[in-house]
Amino acid sequence: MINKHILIILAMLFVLAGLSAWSITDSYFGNRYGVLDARSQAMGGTGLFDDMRPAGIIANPANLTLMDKGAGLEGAVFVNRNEDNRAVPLYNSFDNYIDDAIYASNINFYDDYSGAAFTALQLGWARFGVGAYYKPRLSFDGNYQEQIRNNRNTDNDGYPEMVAVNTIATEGRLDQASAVASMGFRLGDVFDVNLGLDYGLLFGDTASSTTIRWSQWAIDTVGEGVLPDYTYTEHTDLAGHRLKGGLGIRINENFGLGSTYALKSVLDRQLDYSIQQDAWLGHAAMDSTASFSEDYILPTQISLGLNYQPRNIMRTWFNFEVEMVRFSEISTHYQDCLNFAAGVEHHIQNRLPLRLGFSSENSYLRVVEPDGAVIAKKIITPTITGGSSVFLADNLHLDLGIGYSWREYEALDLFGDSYYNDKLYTGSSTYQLWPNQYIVLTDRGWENPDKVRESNVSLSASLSVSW
Amino acid sequence: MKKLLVLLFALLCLGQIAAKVDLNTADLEELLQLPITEKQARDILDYRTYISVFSDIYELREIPSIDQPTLLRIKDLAVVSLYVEEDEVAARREEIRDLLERLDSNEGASEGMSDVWQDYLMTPQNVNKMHFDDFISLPNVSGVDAVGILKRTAQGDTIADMRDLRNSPGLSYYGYTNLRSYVFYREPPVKNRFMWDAQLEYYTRYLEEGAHDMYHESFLRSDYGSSSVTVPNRKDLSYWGWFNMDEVNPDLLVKLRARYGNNYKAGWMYYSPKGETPLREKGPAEIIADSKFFAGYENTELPLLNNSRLKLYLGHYRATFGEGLVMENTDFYSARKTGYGFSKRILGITPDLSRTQEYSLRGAALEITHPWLGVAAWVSQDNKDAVAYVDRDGEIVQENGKDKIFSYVVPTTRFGNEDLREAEAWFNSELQSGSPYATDYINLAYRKDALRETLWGTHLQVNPLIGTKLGFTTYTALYDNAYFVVPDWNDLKMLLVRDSYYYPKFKMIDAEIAGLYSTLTDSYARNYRRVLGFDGQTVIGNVSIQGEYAELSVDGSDFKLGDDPKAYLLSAYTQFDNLYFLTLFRHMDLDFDNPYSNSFSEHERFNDTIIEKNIYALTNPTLADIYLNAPQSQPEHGIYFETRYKFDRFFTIGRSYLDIWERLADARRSVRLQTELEFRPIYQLALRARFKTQTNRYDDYADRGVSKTDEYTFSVRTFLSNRDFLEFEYRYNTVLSPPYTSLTNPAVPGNNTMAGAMTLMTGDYIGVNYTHNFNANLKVQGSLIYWFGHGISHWDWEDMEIDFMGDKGMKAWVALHSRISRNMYLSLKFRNKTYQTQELSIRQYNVPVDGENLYQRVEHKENTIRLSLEYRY
Repeated sequence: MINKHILIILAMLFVLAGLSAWSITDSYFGNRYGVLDARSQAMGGTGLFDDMRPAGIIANPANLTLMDKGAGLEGAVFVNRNEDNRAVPLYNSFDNYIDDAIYASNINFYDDYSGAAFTALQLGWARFGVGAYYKPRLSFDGNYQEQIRNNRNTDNDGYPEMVAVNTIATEGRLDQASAVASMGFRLGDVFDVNLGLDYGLLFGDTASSTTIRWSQWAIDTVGEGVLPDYTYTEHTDLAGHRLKGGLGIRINENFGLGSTYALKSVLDRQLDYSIQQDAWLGHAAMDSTASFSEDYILPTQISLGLNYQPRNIMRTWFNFEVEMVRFSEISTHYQDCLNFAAGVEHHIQNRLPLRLGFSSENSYLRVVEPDGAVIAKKIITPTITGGSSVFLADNLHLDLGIGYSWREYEALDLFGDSYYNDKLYTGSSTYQLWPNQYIVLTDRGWENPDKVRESNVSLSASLSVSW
Repeated sequence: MKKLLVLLFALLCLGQIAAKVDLNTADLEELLQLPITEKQARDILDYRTYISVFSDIYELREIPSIDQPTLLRIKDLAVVSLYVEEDEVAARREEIRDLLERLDSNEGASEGMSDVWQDYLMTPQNVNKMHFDDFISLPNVSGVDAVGILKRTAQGDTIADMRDLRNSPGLSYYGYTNLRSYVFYREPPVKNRFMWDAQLEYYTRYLEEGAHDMYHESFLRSDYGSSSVTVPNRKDLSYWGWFNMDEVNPDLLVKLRARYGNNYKAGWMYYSPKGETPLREKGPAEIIADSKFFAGYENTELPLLNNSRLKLYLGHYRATFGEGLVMENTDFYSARKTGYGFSKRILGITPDLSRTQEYSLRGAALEITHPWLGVAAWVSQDNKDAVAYVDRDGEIVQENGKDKIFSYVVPTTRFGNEDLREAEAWFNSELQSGSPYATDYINLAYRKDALRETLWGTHLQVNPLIGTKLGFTTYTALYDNAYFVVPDWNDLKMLLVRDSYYYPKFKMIDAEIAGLYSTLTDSYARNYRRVLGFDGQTVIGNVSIQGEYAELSVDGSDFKLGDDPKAYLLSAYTQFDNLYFLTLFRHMDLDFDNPYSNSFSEHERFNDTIIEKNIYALTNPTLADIYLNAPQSQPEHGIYFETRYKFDRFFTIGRSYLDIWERLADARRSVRLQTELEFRPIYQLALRARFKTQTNRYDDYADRGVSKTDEYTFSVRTFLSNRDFLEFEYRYNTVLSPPYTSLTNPAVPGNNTMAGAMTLMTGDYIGVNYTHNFNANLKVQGSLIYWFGHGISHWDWEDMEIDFMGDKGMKAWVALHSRISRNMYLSLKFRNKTYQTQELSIRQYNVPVDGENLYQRVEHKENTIRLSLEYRY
């Protein structure tokens, strides 16, 4: 019979095992990629009205005929550095909560790539084009490690013993391969309307594992075969499709409008998982597997963007975009969110652009409580971006972008403290792994959550050619 | 209205012009007649459309695809006509752009005054018709300057132009340079036309230290000293934990203003600060209640009344008169507000789209002014936030059938009342679970919009001589649903302090809290607060003397002076071309509790009281908000001197002051001196040294409470080409004070084991600031600072705001200001601040303090971003 506490721990771990992506917080919804075009990234991820780069068709299919080009090709690579710091609440000698101190810090690097191509044909006042692109839509990659130490001798500059190591490792992506078609109608000298359609296949899988491994010191201290290691593994498959319509209007020489409407997509999510735990005091070893499938919803996204190209002593483009994500379609736990982004490109000198941007994006931390209740907490991620471009030839550009984003929020402790209570496993009334008996190893719930602080530094480079 | 004038000058004979292609007007077909490719023709068109019209034909070389042979080939076939695109508003904006930028960067301090000044910059006033108060409401224009001009116009003289203005006797050069852009002479630079301004701001800020500590304070039962009781150590027993304040939660501001010349004005502003209910979760009524808006009409040429002015405003407005003792409504305190230099008041009625929320006036206001007299009347009705007496269920306590209110308050975060009650119920359950406290529940709590206030006021003014005026101001605030009840000092202690153990924390200075005004006492019950006062100003030669006297009606007669709590201020300002000297004497009684005042003082009210210093002892830590955002002056009695003297072009004594005052609540006496010397051997280089010292002391036989603070700052500033700017600054501080336990105790728990004398704390700071202008439309500013505080708080004025830095750390910020188009401005600022707090009294989660585990340091990292987007048309 499994102890009630252990059941809760396992249930929590099961839930939390899902918590792994670039940011391990985005385990369920994944970490959303924008357009991997470096120019777009440098301008805050804007590009609903983009008549310059072939990857513009990713943001808005109507950009295809908005570009006055016969064909285009673009490839982009992307590197991201994620830093995840988790802090524990601190109390002063009066037992007052005063602040938080970081107890686990993880830095990881991830990379990805995308590509887009199109061709278009002018027939009188109309223009027709087709294109295709591939890009990762969501990333589920993530790595997390924390050490459990007993803090012995820290007052005397000693090094406390390591009790256990916890890890979460996830790999996976949801990819999108899309076919794009667009029609443009020239209604004036500098006035054209473009309509586009994007049909994308979505596919991907993820594999993750969550482990607790006791240290050799801990094993040596309490004896071989006493402390149970724990492993949770999970594999998911995702498949579906997504339809997006786009509109691009060049109003005049100075103003353009772009808009997209991406329909809600319901993907099949097939999940297989297993839980393994070594035998321990009066408990048999556990090795169980299960699987289930569920709908995975990508909510409707409605975007509207303005492009402004004023007369300026520097050639200037300015984009301002608003996006509504209808999270409420997933369930009543979520509210619809508004994201916005702004970006500017100034040509300080000929062919030397300086790009800057900003975006504010909402996402959700989704936690399933042991009783099945879903807790959804909205997280705002502000991002600042910048970038430039290397002019290689008239139609050949190498764009570079950099972005920095961060977010701060509260989250549950990923590994509850009660698992490291060696008294459970030894049957003793005193700790062997912990230096004093004051220590109360209980799981922290929402009354004492972690303060999580994450930051991402993203670099992207894209090479585009069009003619 | 935008007007396009295309002027074509005949550079050659008409036949020749007809034969040549004009690069500034030719379309694509015409350009293709030149021996150039289609791409080159399109590039020429693009350059003209997106960069600039051509001023001469050689500008073609700015286009990458036009090489020298091409230029030579087409040089004789093309012509560049003189193309003047004239928009008077754009031209005006270009003319005053430096001043606009300066006002933008001062907005943090002036809170809404910039809007008024920017309007007057765009559509200046007629210098020949302005009144005395109009002049002295402008930045850096003194009464002496105003008289210099008014004496001329009174004699029938007309100031014809800027040069003529400069020749006004008595007008200082400094006054002239600041005034000249706010006025016009014969014709206004911009005719009456429709103008509007839209602003969007997104700002992820962190709470300042006081607010941070206030929300972190835990509610805990009394007997956790006992080892038999397990300390819960729950973060959610604090406001911080309960309201999940560990998240990025930006301030959002949307502001729209429209006006037709200076006649018709309207505006709307919605400001949603960090932590407040999001806009989409509010109903329309709540959005309106939390918005600021106004519509107004102004006329400077009233019929029948010669040179009279009318202002009529509906919605939110500001009312400011005299020296701010009776009426100057704002939520924001600024120290040493002299009314001179940049520390100005805009007198009279002005529209209000500032972030002032608590002391905003919402209703109708009328002002009519004539060179000889003026009258203003205003009425406001608004629900105000208040600290209320609450019972164990969170209900507001009733007294004589009305709500029992303790005080006005400007809350750091305007939580919803229901959310607060839920939190308080949770906190109360913890407080009551142990052995009993003296007060075992939250007895005082903030409530949003709890106080219904109807306020009316009036100001009458006569100006018998040029530069001389006498005014009378009064207002009455009516409270129909509540009584203000503030007990005397002794009972107040038991009201504010949770446990008798902490009663000794309650000190003489807390008489300032006891001095809050009550509408219900043993001797009277009333439903109003009334303040009245007189102000006056006269200019004699190059000296301007001004002052104000105010009384709060308590138990005296409204018609008798001296029988009620009072405040008064008298100042004299003497000005020469290269020197000014200000002397200011002020006094404010302890029980002069006028929330609508904003006058000169060194500190804000409640500074050093228990609601600042000992928030852990309070029945509710958020009572600290009464201090944290107090706009009122601290009751002080003192004399202040200020000067600035420019010896020659090499040496200047910058703004320097000496203040000697006594804090009335506890008779603490202080002296503060700041002086600054700048040496500028060449125009591009300035060396600056600043010294600041302050001594505080009580008359006490044991000489307790004496502290001395010194601050030395040295900076090297270089003014580079293209208006770039580089500065290095070093600051060194010392504080000498009696031993301060938390700073001097050894790092193990327990008391000192040796005799203590004085404690000297030192701190320093080194920083570099840089401004780079890529061109006229793109500017980057940045700064890098490293500081070490050891209990001393440093401050730093960034591009638009002040930042306080405690303990030790480093910060860097960069701000980009881009003028996207003629009317559109983008500003993006990012700041990273990393600092460490003290290691003392911090211990690990779940481990008692006498265990073995101490954290060495707690590191804080703050990322702040501010995006501002503005369109001015």
